[in-house]
Amino acid sequence: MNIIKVNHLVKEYKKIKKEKGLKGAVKNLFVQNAEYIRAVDDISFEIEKGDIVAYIGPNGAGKSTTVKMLSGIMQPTSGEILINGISPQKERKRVVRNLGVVFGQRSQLNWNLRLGETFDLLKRIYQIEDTLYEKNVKMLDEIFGISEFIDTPVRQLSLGQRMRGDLMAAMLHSPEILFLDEPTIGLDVEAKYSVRKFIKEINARRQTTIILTTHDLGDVQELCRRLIIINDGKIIEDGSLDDLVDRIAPYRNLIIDFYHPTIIQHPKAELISVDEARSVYKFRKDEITAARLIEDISRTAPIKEVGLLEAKIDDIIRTAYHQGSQNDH
Amino acid sequence: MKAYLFVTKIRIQSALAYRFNVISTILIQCLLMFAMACFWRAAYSGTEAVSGVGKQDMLTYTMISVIMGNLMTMGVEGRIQSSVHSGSVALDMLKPVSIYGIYLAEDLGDMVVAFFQIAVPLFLLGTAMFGFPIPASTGHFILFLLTFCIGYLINWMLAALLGMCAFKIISMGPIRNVKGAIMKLLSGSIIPLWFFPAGFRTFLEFLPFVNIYQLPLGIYIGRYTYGEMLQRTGLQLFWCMALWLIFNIAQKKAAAVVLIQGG
Amino acid sequence: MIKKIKYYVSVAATLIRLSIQSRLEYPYMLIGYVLANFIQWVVGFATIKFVVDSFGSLGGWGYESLAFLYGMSVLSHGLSVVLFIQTWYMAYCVVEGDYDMFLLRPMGVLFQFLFDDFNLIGITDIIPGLMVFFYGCAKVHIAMNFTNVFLILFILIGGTLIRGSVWIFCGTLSFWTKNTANFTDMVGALFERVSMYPLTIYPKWVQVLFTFLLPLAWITFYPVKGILGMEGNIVPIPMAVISLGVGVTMFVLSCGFFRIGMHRYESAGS
Repeated sequence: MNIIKVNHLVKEYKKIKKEKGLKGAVKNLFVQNAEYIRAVDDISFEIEKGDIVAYIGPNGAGKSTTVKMLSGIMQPTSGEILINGISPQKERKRVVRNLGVVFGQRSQLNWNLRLGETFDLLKRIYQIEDTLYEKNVKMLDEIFGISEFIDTPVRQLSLGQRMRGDLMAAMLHSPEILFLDEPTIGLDVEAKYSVRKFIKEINARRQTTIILTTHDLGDVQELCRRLIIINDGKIIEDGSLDDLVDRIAPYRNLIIDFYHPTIIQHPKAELISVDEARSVYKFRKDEITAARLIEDISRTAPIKEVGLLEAKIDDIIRTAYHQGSQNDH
Repeated sequence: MKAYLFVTKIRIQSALAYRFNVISTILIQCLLMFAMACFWRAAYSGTEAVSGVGKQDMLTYTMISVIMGNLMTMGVEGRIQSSVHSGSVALDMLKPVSIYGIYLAEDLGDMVVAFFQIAVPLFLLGTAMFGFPIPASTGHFILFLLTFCIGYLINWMLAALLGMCAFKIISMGPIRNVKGAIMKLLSGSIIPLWFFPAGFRTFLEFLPFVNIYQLPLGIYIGRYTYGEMLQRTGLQLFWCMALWLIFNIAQKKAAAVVLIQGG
Repeated sequence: MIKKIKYYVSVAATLIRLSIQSRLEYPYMLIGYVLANFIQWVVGFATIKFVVDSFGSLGGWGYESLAFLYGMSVLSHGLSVVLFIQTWYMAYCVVEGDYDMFLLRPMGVLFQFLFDDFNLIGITDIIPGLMVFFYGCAKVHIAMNFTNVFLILFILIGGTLIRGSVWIFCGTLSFWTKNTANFTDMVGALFERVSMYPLTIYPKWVQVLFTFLLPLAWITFYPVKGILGMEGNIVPIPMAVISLGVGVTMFVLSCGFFRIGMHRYESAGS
């Protein structure tokens, strides 16, 4: 079942051009040049219930704009969004009741007060029944381990703790859908690890559908079954990470250490470097398997050690961004 | 010196970017001027002169006071506060120029902008509404300019001193309000102290605030005799120098605070 | 319906409790504001007294009535600062995208916004306000009977709503201008000039302007005049009731305008 449907979504911005310099500043007093920019340009996708989807793209690609439209904060210029069959633009209150949103760069927690106070407020705003509230708090506490700092003023929390607090606040009313906008931004390795663990656990326990935007590809690798890449407002990739890797970087590198310096060629692999007894081969996954390659080479010379290098995910995504913008122009 | 001039120029540029602010400020100030004028006209209905000052003199006083208020925008309070809070004060102190010099240059840049954008239009509008504000004489006018400049410095140093409180305390909200209220009422910017009861007035005249507004304004409309003017300007100079001393001590103390806390 | 009211009241109560708690995290601020506002209003009032002492009267109003007018004005100012202070920062909220959070919650945005920052500190305006008010009451020898208490309450509610509406209106403009220009100062100066001094000191056209076009004269001037019996009845109902009506009408209008502004926010983003 598709819990989110997006049809031909478009968002146009008006941008006022300011001229530079003292002369420009005087000129700006009288004339303003406007231009229109398509931040989101005809995007369509559907998301299944219980999925975790990464929505990634370079800065200014239109990620946040899309998330804002999905969560009803922003009106699209054209196109349609349906969340559980309801449009967030037409029935905001009904849609957001079922939505949890966390912005990594902004917090909804009351800065001066203990964490628990914000939860108390949310309980009232979302009209959560006492029994359900208590059940949720207990369950979420198991996941987030919040009880250790629930009585600490939010301003004294570490960034990681604050993020856990924000995630919990977003989950109190048991929403079916969770939007996370850069949930791991600025966190240290340990905190990142635990936030990812929490996200996985929420998804597993409650079947919460999660959409997250991020610049950290570790998030994508560890959390997401599906990946949507957006650039210049257009979707340029949509599929599983494995598929993307296969398509964009079908190459792998095989490192072989021989007992003696040797040069051995193979028809289906390119020998890209030789350093003493170490040779590196580049081959296409769909043309030959690593096992076969090793087997072939070992027939010619004895092999001491092998290593297999996958293409780096950063490079793959970078390639995807580039391809996207090249197709565009 | 070039560095400070550059800061002033940048300040002028960025101020020009706010068209909306300019128009709304002129509007507000014009309104204020008009409202004050109405107040004095109503007060003077039926009487010619009170405390030795006539209606037209009070209109002049009000008009020049409003214009002065717009020239004395003190950004320094907020600047010190925000740079202490953001921690950039430590970086600023590393620069090969005095940060207070930079702040003063910025404020002077704002004053230049305010002069052309706000003071000149206000002057024209005010003249159209209440007649040209004639100074008592050329000599009075020159002395007005001089006392205005000293008053500006006094005002600036008071603002800077207040801003430096940010080194000691977290939030300045109420302190700035207290200062605003005191300035507004005790400097004679709205109602000159000569309407106040004698005892209270004498006390206020020994404080630095009267030297910012009332002294230059009183000179402008020719309220004081030459002897009085010299005596009062002397007191003003004394305050300016006293504040300069306090300012220097505070500046050293503040720098020490930054060094200890590491910004 | 009753359920809905209960819901909104419970959220409002929690928001108010949280705001007060946050304010009390910085107790010395409160003390500072007590001092600041005391100086501002009491000394402000004293200057009026000095002027009236020198000149005799102001716009046909004697010192006693002026004191009462001033007290009423500071009181409704204080109340409006308690309830509406966040409207001073609407431009800032627009630029920072603060309304996003409210839009993400299943409640009216204006409701959340207005109650999000209940300003305990505004009480520091009310304290000197009460002082001047009771002083004024004593000076004009107003009878504290049932009718007058109600009329005074009407004036305060009406005045508070008029002030709040104007602030909401000005703040809403920033949805278009996206500029943190300081309307607050202008509006504050306007309120002070129109509500603390008798309207009669201004020319006829200004009086008409503030009576009908921008009905600020209803914050204090007309209803105070009414309650002090300074004028024969032109209309059969008390001026205080008209004040209340003007306040409620303006508030409803400003809420509508805010809604239009919110649409703009949703389509422009931040």
